[in-house]
Amino acid sequence: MMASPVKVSQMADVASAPVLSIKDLTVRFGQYEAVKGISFNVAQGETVALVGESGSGKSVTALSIMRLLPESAFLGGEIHLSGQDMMSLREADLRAMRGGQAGMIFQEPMTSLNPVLTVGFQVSEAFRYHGDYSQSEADAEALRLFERVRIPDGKKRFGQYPHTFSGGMRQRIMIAMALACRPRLLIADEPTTALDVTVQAEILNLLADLQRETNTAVLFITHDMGVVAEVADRVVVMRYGKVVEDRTVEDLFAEPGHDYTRQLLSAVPRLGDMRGENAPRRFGSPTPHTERLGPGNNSGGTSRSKPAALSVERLTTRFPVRGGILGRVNGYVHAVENVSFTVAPNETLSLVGESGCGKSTTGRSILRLVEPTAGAVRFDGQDLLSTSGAALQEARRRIQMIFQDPFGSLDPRQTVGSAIAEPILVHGHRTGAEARDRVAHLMERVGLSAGHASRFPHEFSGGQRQRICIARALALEPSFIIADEAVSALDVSIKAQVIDLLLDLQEEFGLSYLFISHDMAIVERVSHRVAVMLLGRIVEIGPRSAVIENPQHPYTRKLLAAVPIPDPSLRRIKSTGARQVDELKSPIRPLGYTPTPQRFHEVTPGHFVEEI
Amino acid sequence: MTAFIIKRLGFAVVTLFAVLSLVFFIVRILPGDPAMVILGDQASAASIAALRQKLGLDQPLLVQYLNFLVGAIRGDWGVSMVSGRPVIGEVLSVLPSTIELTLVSLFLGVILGVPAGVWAAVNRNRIPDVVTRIVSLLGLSAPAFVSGIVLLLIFAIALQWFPVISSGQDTSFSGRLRDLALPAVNLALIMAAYVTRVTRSAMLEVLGQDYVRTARAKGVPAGVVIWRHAMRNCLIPVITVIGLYLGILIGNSVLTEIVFNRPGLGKLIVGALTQRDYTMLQGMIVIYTLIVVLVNLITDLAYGLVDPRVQYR
Repeated sequence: MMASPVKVSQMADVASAPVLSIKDLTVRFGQYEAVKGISFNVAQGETVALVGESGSGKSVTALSIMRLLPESAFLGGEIHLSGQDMMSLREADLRAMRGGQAGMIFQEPMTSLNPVLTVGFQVSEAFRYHGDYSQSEADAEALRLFERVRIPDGKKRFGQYPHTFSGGMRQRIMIAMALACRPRLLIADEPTTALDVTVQAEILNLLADLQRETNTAVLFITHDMGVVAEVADRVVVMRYGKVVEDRTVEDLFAEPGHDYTRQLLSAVPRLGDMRGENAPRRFGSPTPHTERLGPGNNSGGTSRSKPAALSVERLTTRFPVRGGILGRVNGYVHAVENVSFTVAPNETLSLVGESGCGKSTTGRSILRLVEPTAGAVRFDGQDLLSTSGAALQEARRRIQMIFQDPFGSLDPRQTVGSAIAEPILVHGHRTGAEARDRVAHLMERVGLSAGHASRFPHEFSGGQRQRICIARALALEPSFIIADEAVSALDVSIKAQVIDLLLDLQEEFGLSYLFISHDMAIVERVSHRVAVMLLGRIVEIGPRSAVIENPQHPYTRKLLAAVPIPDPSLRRIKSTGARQVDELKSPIRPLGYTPTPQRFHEVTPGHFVEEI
Repeated sequence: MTAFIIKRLGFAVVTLFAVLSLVFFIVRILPGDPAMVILGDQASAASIAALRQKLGLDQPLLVQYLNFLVGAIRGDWGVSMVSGRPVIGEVLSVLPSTIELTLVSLFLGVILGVPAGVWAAVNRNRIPDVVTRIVSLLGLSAPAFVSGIVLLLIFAIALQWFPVISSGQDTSFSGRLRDLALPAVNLALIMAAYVTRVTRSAMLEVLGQDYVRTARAKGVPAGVVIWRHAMRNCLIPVITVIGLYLGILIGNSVLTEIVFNRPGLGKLIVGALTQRDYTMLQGMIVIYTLIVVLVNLITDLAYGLVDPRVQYR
């Protein structure tokens, strides 16, 4: 095919040609080649998923299609969008293509909208630079778009600023903006990764509906195989800047052609995989430097007959909301409200729910990293909420936390060895040499080389850093670990390895876990028992198999139904017309509010559901 | 918003009270008897005692303090120990020319500094950036009295475009403008240097934000991206620096007023210092405190104009 540029006026003739055609694309940043000669097409009305783990070059590819990379990037190869040669267009023509021929949605709805401009302005602006719209015409068009992306109260919300919108609503605004000028291609770069699963399901539905109406081509970038199975017609798998596989979604899931794809798929937990099993199960992923245990059940059964390792009774944490001239308290955020549960020795209790449900605050309240308002936390025969000083310190030694962000929770100027040694030295008992030995042992145990103790956090990958955080948590030989979204920020295959590590450690040291997560498939994998939180309260709690296979509370059902299943034959996204959009209610209550008492109903032994 | 202003003015009253008390006691702790300072070494004991009585210095400290506070509230800040005229009158007579100088140089500084900073940020590490960085470094490092004298030498003495002494004799509009030109430019250059630097770094940060990428992905022209999408977001640090720098500006106006021989608070305070005019000093400190408190309030209110996320409470 000749690479002669095609005029926009001739575009009707080339309707059968792919909307986007990438050939031998290379992207280089200095010495580093991020994309190494990839080729693929996206046809009209087709959804192509671009899949890969972090560093595979998928986002760089997306940005290079729009020619939005910084000047330090060197591009090679060919990109044709709507028949136009994107490599040779001048800046002014590129602007017409951006937003006009291709719209783009980004991952972070929180930072992708300009905080100082109203959402209405930001949407209507898309019209003003493409075509002949007056301000009022552009506003009217934008308002129509608000309806199409189902933003409730569109007229009222038009003049409001982004910070007054939830993540899901902001992503709708991004979609409105990207689709404003009816582009032929929509590039969605991890558009639902930062959203809760129920919101994710709504957004995926919306995108599917809009695509059907407009016959837009969609390039959907994601790392989530569940989402791929839900949305894609064809899948392009990328690794280290190369395309390793390009085939239809059915073929890919049925018989993955490349080892890497197979590995990627096997690392994905499927909700329902664990049907009929009671104990957690390892992924059996090959882990570097650790003995291979192979896949198998975590045989170390829990001891629910023994006294609980940790028991939380009527825990309540409220944060004051202040207002007025004197900053008087005029309400409370009921972040955690009357929450009770126990965790047996050697058991994992998962706390699940969507953002803002109070699951992280519960974890922090147990260690009094935030001060609870009322309740009791019994650990080792003591109430942690009424102890202080040395007794509290001792409890904090025995209960350790692992956080979500392995980048933010390590000091960039401290070697990882001294980060791991610090708790040992702070809590005394050991000399420097003993601490060094212990650090070496711990690093080996979590699958790192002891020789790396003198390195700094930036020299490690995300998964390795999370291993370092785990080693640090283990340094004081705790009996209880609170893992707050500990694997959420990791790539699928790394996630599987870290989960396996946590399960091995549980078996070896008899640890109890409070596993806080929003990821139902992971929760199903790791837990013995599950508690579902909504607006600061537990609405359902019980053995994992009971809660996940026989959910009773409507919220638990909704949560489970929203989880994308990595199997294209079970695709559930379908047009539902004007679907109900429900925003999570707020847990802010006025002064003097007394929460209605909760009554629980026991479905099967140990499986309790809130009575409504 | 109104509640916020009232609350902040309440804080301002508390701050002023604290400053007044501090000033009163520091002045009393200082060695040397004001009466003796005023009358000189040669004065007789009787005349010193008479003056002490006239100034109220013979009364107990607590009584003096209460009298001082009551006077301050009623706008009676005492009389200058040197000229014998009321302090408040002296201050108010020169205040407008200092405010005029400060505001005009602030305005010029922002008009010069913001575009220069944006220009540098957009052309990061290229020639415009290097040039602005060197020039603004010069502006930061040249003391006001040096740059003032250079300006005088070139524009007042060599070129004779502006008067050497900006005394304020010519009260016509053009006359005042001619008087104001050199001192204002002198201060504005320093102001512009600060504003350029902070605008540059703020703009560089904002240009890396996701929402700037969103705007570009929408096909918004580069100029609109910078001036409409990015500019308002980088105004917060710029306003902070302007607010902080107003204090330094007033400090530099002291030097500028002396170099250009221009009436203003600066000359008044230097005079009061050299002549140990305690009452005048007390009055000046109150005025400066008031200015700083007001500038801070205005800065905080300006944040809200720029950023809709700012809540006043």
